[in-house]
Amino acid sequence: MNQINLESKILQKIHDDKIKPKSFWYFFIKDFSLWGAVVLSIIFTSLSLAPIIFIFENLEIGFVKHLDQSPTNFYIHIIPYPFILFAIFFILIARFSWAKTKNGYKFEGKKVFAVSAIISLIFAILLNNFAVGKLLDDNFHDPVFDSYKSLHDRRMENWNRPDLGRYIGIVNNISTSSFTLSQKDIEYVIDFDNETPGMELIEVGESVRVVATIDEEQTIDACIILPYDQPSIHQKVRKIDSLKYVSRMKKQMKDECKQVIEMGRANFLKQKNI
Amino acid sequence: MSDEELVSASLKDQKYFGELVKRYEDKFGRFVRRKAALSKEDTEDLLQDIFIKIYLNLNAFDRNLKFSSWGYRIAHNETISWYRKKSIRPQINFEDYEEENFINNIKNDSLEDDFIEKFAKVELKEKVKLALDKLDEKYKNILILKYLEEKEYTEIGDILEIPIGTVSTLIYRAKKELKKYLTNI
Repeated sequence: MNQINLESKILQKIHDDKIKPKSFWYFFIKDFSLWGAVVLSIIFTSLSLAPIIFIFENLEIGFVKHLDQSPTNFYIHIIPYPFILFAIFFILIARFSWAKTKNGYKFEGKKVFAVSAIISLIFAILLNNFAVGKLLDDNFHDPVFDSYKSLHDRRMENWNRPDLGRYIGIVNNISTSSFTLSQKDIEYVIDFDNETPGMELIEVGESVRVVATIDEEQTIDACIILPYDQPSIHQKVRKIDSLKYVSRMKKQMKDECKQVIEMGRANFLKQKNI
Repeated sequence: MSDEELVSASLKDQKYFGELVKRYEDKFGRFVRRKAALSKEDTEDLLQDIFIKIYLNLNAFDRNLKFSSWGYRIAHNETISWYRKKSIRPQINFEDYEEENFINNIKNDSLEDDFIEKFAKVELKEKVKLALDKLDEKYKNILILKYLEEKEYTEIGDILEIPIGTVSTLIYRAKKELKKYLTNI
C-alpha cells in the first residue's frame, strides 16, 4: 500500500467533503442521555417494585383458608402481573442502556443486572415506606385487559363479607364492650372484651378488619381485630403480622373463635347454620 | 508525539491526522486483510472508511484507552459493516509467515492438553486456516486479536467492547472449538 497515497487521499477527502469531527458535546450528550436512561429506568423499576412489595407484605397468608376461593386461585390472582412485567421491562432497559454507555462494556451484564436490581429494590423499599406502593396499587388501571384489582378492591371483596363473619371498616362510637364499624352506609355493632386480640387497634377513625362469630341473637362477637394496612405503613401496629399474630393469638381465643380461625370457611358456615 | 497527543493535535489541525494514518495504515491494513481475502482496491476503500470514521469520532476518543485499541475497535466494526453491506461471509486470509506465527503463539499459550503438539507442522499449517474459517465469527475474531495481532486481554476487551472475564471465556471456548475442528478435518 502506498502510504503517501492513502494519507493524502484521506486528507484530500476530509478537505473536499468538508468533513469535521463531531463535536465534543454530541458525545457528551449521548453518554449523558444513556446515563439518564439508566437512572430513569432504575426509578421506574423501583416504582414497579414498590406495589409488588406492598402486595406481598399484605398477603394475609394466615387467612387464605378462610377465603371463598381455593388457595391456588387466590395466589394466582394476587400476583401483580402488570407491575412484575413493568419491573422486568425497565430493569432490562437499565441494563442495556448501561452497557451502551462509554465504559459500560467493561461490566458484565449479569453484574449490571444485579446492581440495578439491588438499587431498585432499595429505592422500592424506601418508596414503600412512604406508601408509594399502596398509592400506585390503588390507582393502577389495567388499560389492556381491565382485569387488575388493587389490594384494596381484593381486600374489600374478601373482608366485606358479614355473611361469612368477616368485616372491614372504620371504627367509631367506642364503648367499654363494643364499637361501631362503619362500612359505607352500613354500621355494625361489634362486641369485644379485654382479651380480644387486636383490641389495642380500637380507636375512632381506625380502619380495621375483624373476624367475628354471630350468635342466635345476631350479636357480633369479635374473635380477632386486624389492622387494615400493612404493618410498615401502620406504624402503631408495626409488630402485628397477620400470620404470626393470628397463630400467637389463637392460644388466647375462645374455643368457637379458634374453630373459626383453624377450620376456615366451611366450619364457619356449618357453625352459622347451627 | 504520542498517538494520544496526535489525536488532540488533529482536532486543531487535520495535517496531524495524516501522521496517525501513516502510523496505523499498515497495522489496520493487515488486520482487515487477515479477516478476509480482500482485493487491494477493497482494502484501500475499507481503510479510507475506517480512517474517516476515526476522524469523525476523534472527540469520542477516551483518553483512558490506548489509541490503538480504540482504532482497532473502529476498524473491527467497520469491517463487519462492510461485510454486511456486501452480504458476504468473511474468509480468513493469512500470509505464510502469519500462519506460522499463529501456530507458535497458540502453542506458547498452551492448552491444558497441548493439542497443537499432536499435529505435524506441515499438517497443522494446512489445517489451521480451514479450521479457523469454520469457527464462529466471535471465536475467529478473538483468536486473530490474541494470536495474530498479539493483543493483551484488556486491549481485546476494549477493541471488542466486552468485559475481560468474557475475553478469557471466549478465548478458552475458541481454542476448544479450534481443537475440535482441527481434529475433525
